[in-house]
Amino acid sequence: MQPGTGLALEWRVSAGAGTVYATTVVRKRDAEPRSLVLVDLDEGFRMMSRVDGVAAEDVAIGQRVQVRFDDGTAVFAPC
Amino acid sequence: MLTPVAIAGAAESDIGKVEDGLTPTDLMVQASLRALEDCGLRISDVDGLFAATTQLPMATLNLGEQLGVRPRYTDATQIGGSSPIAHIDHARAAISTGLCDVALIAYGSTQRSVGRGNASVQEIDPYEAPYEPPLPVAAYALAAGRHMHQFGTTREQLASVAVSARQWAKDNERAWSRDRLTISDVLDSPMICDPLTLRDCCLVTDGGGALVVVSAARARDLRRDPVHVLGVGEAHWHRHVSSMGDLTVTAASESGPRAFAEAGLTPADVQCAQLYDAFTITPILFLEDLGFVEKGEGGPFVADGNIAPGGSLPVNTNGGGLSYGHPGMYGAMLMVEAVRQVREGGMDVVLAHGNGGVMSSECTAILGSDVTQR
Repeated sequence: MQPGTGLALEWRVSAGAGTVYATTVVRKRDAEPRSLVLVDLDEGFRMMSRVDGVAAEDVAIGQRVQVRFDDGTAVFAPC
Repeated sequence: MLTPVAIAGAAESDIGKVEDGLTPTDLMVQASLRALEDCGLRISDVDGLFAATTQLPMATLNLGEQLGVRPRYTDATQIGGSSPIAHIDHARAAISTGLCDVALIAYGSTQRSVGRGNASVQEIDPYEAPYEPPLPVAAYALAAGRHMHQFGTTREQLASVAVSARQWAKDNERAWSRDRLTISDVLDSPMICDPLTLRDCCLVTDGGGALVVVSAARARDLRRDPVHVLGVGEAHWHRHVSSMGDLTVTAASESGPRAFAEAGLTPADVQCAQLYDAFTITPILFLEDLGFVEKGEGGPFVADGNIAPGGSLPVNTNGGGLSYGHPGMYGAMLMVEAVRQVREGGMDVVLAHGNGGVMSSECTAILGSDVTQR
């Protein structure tokens, strides 16, 4: 949970609510544009993810998002 | 105490799209032989090897084998595109301690010939891989977006970095892309990762370069006027963009001040800068982090033509990674151009800044025509 210390990880539960810190739209030939974001979780850690449930272009820095799981992968949706 | 060192020889290999069958090692060797010829030293004089390339995990072994050098000091430090500048720092440490006398730094890549996917190993990071970030561009796109959000930087300002680079490339016959490029051309080219279009991204070319580093005292007796290494700074803060912290501030804000402090110079003393331009956002970040402008003012500075031909601070005078060539890692070519600007461009103080990974490693070197520049 806390890179930068080298200490052993421990499990903590996050409420899964966070704010989009940075966002981009990944565009590849023959594929739908898709979201890629860095999310700052309220507990104070950051993770890479994507925001579903909205067009990738409409994801904005500062937007509040909530985690949800897509086949075990933590993704986010606007809340 | 470090022994003052100088770059005695510098050369590029063939660049652009090289002859079929040439390997990264061939290009390292080609550049090395040219750099040795440049300064009048022989292969047998070389006793320290420094190399890193994405295609060869043990690059100094390939270089030594092919040249027939059995070095007494070897350093294959691989921290991405800034590696050759780190190698200069390490070479002077080795020269200062007597571990080698003639340091050969080399780079070679056949990235265009073999395809980008075959030229570099992508690490699988469990925390990023599930989201399939197209790296490195996605990381720089996230940073560019953040810079726009915080400082009002515009896509047009980003584009002006590419346009300035192209204006420099126009007069460089070695440059890969020399045709006219406008702001609209950059904005209208296919979007890769918002806000970066294809023309905000560096080229994919083959190429290589080499530098010969010796003590300043020894360099004075060699063929060419020495290009003195006045200061070097290394820094790295992260490997992954998701561990970067503030995406608008790079470790250049540490490597730059280190290099300036050693040189006893300030950004105002720099007459020309080579700033690693993997993407249009990077020279903007480095202009800010190295202290040429305040944080957030990089966009207006480049849009005003300051880094273009005729501007107040010539930047990437060969056309840079955006228009001259970008063979996987650009640091060696960037250093060769910095040396050229001291030798042939009439510049007394030139700053060279290399970037590696995803704004991960940052290395700064300040070169001068005279050791008393400081």
